[in-house]
Amino acid sequence: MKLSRVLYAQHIGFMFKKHWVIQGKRVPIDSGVEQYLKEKGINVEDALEFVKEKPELRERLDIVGPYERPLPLDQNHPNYKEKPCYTLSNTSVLLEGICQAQVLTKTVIAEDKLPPRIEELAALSAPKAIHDGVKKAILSANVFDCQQKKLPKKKDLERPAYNFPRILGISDRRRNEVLTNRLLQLVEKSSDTDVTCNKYILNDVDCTTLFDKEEELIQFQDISNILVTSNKPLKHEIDNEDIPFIGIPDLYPIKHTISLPAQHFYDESSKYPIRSNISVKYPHTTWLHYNPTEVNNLYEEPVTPIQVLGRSLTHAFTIASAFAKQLYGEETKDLPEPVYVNCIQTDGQRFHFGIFELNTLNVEGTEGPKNVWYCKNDLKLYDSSRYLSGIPVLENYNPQIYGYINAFYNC
Amino acid sequence: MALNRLFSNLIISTTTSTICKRTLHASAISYASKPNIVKPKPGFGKSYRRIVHFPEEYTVKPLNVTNLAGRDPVSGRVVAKGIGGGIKHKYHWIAWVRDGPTEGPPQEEKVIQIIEDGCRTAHIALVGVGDKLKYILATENMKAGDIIKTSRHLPRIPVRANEGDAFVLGALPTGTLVHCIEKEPGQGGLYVHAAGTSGTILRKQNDRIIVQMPSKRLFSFDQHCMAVVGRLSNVDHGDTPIGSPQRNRWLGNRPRSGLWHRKDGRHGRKIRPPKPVKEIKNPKNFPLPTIQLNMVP
Repeated sequence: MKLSRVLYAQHIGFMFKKHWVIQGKRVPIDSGVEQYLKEKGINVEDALEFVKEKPELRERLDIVGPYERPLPLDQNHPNYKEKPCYTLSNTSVLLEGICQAQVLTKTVIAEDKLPPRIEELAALSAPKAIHDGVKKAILSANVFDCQQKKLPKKKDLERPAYNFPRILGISDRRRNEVLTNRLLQLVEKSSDTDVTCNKYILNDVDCTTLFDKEEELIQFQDISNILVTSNKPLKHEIDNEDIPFIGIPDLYPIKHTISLPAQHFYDESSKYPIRSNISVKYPHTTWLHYNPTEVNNLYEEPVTPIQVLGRSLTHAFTIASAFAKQLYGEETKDLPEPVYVNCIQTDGQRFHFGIFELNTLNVEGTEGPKNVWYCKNDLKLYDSSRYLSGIPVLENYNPQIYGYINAFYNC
Repeated sequence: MALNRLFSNLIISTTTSTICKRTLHASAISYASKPNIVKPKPGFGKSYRRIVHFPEEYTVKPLNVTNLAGRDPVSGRVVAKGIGGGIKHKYHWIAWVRDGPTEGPPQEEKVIQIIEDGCRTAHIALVGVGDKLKYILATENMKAGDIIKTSRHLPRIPVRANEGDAFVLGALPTGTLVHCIEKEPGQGGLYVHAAGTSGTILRKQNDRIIVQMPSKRLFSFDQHCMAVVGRLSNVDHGDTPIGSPQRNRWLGNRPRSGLWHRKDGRHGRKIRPPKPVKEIKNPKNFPLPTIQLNMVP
């Protein structure tokens, strides 16, 4: 068969189809009639749309099913409140950190200054057995625990596309829990019975405080990982005259409610975790864990140290103000006696100690009685604790930290 | 436009109109027995690299993205060759509209942090004002803690503007470097986004400002259009070579093939007369929708 016979053959139908496809697309010329009529106010309708049948309107049937359908969380929900409440939770962090926390809670800061009694108690050296116990606690939290969870992925900035083998190990929540509980247990063992019998230790308690600042409701919802309570209120004697306080900063052009998302569903009262008829309700010390995998920013950038410090201030304020409201009522402003709360924040390695003195619940403006935050920040307990060529190793243990923890418990 | 014309003398030509000629273009492939496929072509801002899942309200949280690898989401066919793979970056939603008060002192905003964005060459700045956080394109010397101003006020005397401030084009003196220029007042900055680029304000003509773009083309803008002063960040981006074929793959570019002669044919340098100043405004007349006639009654 000759190839040319096949090639020269034409199919008139294919040619028709190709012409129709191309020449069938016509753009109508705009004569301007529609625009002219619209300007005169005459309604112009497309003929093909006019001829189409209108869809039948059917009424919505509410079918009774096996359970009540949950209502969508919008304005029509019964619990919806008109006034938004700016909420700070345990896992979120303030944008400006401690500066914003100062403005929100009307606090002045005494940097690196703790009451003299605490410093005295901390300077007492503990016997070697206790420090051995602390080292064992650190190793058991970091190295000897058997939890295996997927840890965050390791990334190399030089080779962004390389996926490292996934590491399984102890999660930061578990490590902090084990470490802090073991440390507290050591402190309790080495203290006298008249101190320990008066104290209760609670793990993972919720605390909420709701307050008004400049016509806006603000709520702090926090979880205290360890709350040490006692049967008499905590008192500190501090001489306020010589201390150079860091005053309340001006955050212009940022407002104090930035990075606090507004919620329309909230409880109208503060909540303190212990009932008022229990004798050991007075808050003594609160331990706050900083878990890098759980606490993050709105904008998903790494949390800065200033933001971490701000977290401990707001936490101490939450506990103190919730307790003050339970004692003196929801609407009190200036307290007859200051409420003191000790606060220790840790991420396993770094410890931030602080004492919050709550003088007033009236956080409007910057004048009048202010709350005080005495702090000692960024004390490292150890440099590293891990397996080094198969051997569990603890580098550069710092014995000062135990002194402060003991002082905080015994004051 | 790019419609195949088989026998053009058989067709009644459409009247040439003053309608803007830049519309989306498509190509049709017709074989004898295969169905007619109409695929869009990449260009005019649409690059078929990724789809961003935008929520209803503006948020600072990085948004999820699906990579398209050069495919058209409607037809699923490959539309742009050479795109695919690469590291997936979350999209930071940038607030393109820099609104300010029309009278009175300019609004002040604080720069909180400069962040590198994987979806663009310039860096972005996280900015806080009042209650709100937003992202904007960072300029060359911007750092955390800077205060930047925005104002829509058109004064009689030009404003002495600092880097990062946003003013209307009519308020800026000639010779200022600007970027993120709006097309129509209130639309959001559309022009000049790449790293290290900037436009220059050359002269004012009646009520329009003539700006030279980074490609040396002259555009004329309305004097009420907002523009941000300064050069964009990451100035060395244009000077750093990609370095390795693997890094090109990380950027999402698949290997290309093709015989390429530097000075031949379409790749050679052309000497042409400069184009006239183009007036930038939104088109007002749009062509009526095309009617497709077919054989089926």
